[in-house]
Amino acid sequence: MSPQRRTVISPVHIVIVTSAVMLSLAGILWLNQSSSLSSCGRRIANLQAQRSRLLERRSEALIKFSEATSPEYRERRARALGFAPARELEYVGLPPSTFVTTGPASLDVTGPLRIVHGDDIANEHQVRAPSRDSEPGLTFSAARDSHAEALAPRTDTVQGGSP
Amino acid sequence: MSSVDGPAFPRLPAVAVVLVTVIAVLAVRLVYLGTIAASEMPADTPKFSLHAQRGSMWDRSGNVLATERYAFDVYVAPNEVNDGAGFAASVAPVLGRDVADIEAAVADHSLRWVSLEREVPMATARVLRELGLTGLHLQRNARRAYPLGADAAHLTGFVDIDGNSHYGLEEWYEDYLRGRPGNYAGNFGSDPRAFRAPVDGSDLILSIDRTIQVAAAKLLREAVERESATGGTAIVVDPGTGEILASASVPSYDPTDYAHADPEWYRDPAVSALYEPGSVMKAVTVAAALDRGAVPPGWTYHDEASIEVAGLEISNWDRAAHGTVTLTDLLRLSLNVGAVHVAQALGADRFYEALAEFGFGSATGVDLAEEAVGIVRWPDSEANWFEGYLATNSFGQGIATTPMQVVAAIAAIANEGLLMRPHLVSEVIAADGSVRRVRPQPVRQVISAQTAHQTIRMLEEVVSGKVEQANVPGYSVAGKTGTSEIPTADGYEKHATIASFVGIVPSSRPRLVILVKLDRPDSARGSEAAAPVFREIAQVALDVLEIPPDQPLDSQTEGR
Repeated sequence: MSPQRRTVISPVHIVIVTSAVMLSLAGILWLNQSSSLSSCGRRIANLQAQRSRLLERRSEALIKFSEATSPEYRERRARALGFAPARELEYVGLPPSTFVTTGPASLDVTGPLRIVHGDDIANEHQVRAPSRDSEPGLTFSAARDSHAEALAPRTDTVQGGSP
Repeated sequence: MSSVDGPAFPRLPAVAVVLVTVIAVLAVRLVYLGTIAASEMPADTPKFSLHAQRGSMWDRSGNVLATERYAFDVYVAPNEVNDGAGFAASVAPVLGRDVADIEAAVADHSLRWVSLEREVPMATARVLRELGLTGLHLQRNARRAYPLGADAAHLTGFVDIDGNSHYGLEEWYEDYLRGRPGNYAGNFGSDPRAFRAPVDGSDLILSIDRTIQVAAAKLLREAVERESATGGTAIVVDPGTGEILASASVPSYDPTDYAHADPEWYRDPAVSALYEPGSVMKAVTVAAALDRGAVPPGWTYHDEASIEVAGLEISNWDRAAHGTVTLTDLLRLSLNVGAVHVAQALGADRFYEALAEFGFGSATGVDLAEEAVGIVRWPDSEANWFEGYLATNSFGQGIATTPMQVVAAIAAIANEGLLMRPHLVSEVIAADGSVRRVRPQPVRQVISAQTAHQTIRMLEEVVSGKVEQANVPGYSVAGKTGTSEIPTADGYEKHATIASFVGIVPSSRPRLVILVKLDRPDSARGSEAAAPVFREIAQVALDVLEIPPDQPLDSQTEGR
């Protein structure tokens, strides 16, 4: 029987093996952290670039929107369509608490109001709300222009005033 | 079984020491990265600034009044370009340049950076980017856009090419608008530990209404041209809150092209131009005297066309004697002699106390840069003060005010005697979405509500009886004209006046106070030059704000 070789695990071995394992772990950690940092930095850079592009587009859109809604542009467009600025305001007085509706006779007057001129009123459904004696006559303002009136729908939008 | 004792590898201890050392170094490094290095970067680490967008300004309806726009400088790196002819053929039409020029620019491949074009707009930059050409580089520059241009230049101020703000809201709210730039370190942000996100500037929501502002600017400009005036100012305020709905001055400038404007035009005349307010001041004199009990509402005096005060002869503007005159007549006929009588009844101490309470001689506190405080000769601080100053100040001469001070004082009368601080910004919205609301700021009660009502009734008589040019059909109007001489180093300018009108509408329930001032107009009087402009601006503002008429239909018809 040949002599059996007994392996002795000395403390030095333990240190070496442990160190090797720890070194591997540390290396993995190091690589992991470095790659995370790098990818994170890259992502930040990409997001920043994206943000810059979005800011540019937002700014461009804002300026375009502002131009398209500017009073000068709207006036130009309105003139091109045959309208003209209302130079004279006219106020139409209605009897107290009288509403003229465009729909069937109803006490529901929450919908859009329209003011009807002249004989047309006979063709409309007129609703008289409960009278309030102390209430002064209602006045609504309607911007009108002779040229615009010829082209505009026959009803005027009610501006200001509340029942 | 035999055993072999002793170290199998004699150099193992040395290997172990090396390994442990390496591990220790790695561990220390990891701890360092996670703690110290995370908070501060070495000084030699390259850092790149990240642009913080400057805050925008919006009107009360959400229309943009100032925002950031971008312009681009176009460069080429010839050393990166292989096909110069192809490069030039692609780029030249976009930039509107000759192909030969661009080809020449990229011909020298030893060069690394050649400028092709500066300040190209975003649309052009986008087309260039889409070309995807190697060697073509764009550098973005933040600039300011002011969609209302000259119509609101004095309000917005401007930002110069270096990013410094000047005048107006740009300067006053610099700390809010600027934001805080961010930064990152290393190439392409490879080291995010030094990354600091930029914080964009706050947005300002203004009390300005774009439609009223543009209309006021346009109507004022037309009036200045019509009257051959040298300048003018129009201000619209809400007396109940002190909110400024519009403020325009002429001459103005394009804030995106400030370099080509006369620097004298940069200051906002509404807050920095001093002038003698003239007869508008009579409303303040009468209100102060009524409130302090110096004269009762039914007070009268006998008008003899002129009066001598401390050796100074003061005459009515029409040089006429008007006999027995009431307070209302004093205002309606705008009699200097009457104003002097009222001021004398009030006495210098109480008169100047009232002036101070109305805000004359001190800044209104409006949120605009370069506000002037005016010039008032106070009896207790002016060595050469004499009784003549009391007399002339009572009808608005010998005293220098800003248009903003005058409109704020009349707004106090319209607001039941409560002086409000005029302001332009109603909200500040930070980049994180947090909102700071600016509440209306009462300054002080300068006269009682009763006196304010009495004064307004008198000012209504002024408009209905004497200044029909200021009548707004459908609305009650109270107001006062002002026609003042222009002081020079040795007296007053001859044949030149400042014509103004300040009005309250509807006067039955004041919603707007509007001041119109024209410098050196052809029509010398405020009623002729300024009152019609007041009426036109009022009509637009009343319509835009949907303020219903307050006059019965009959009187509206009569009003026209």
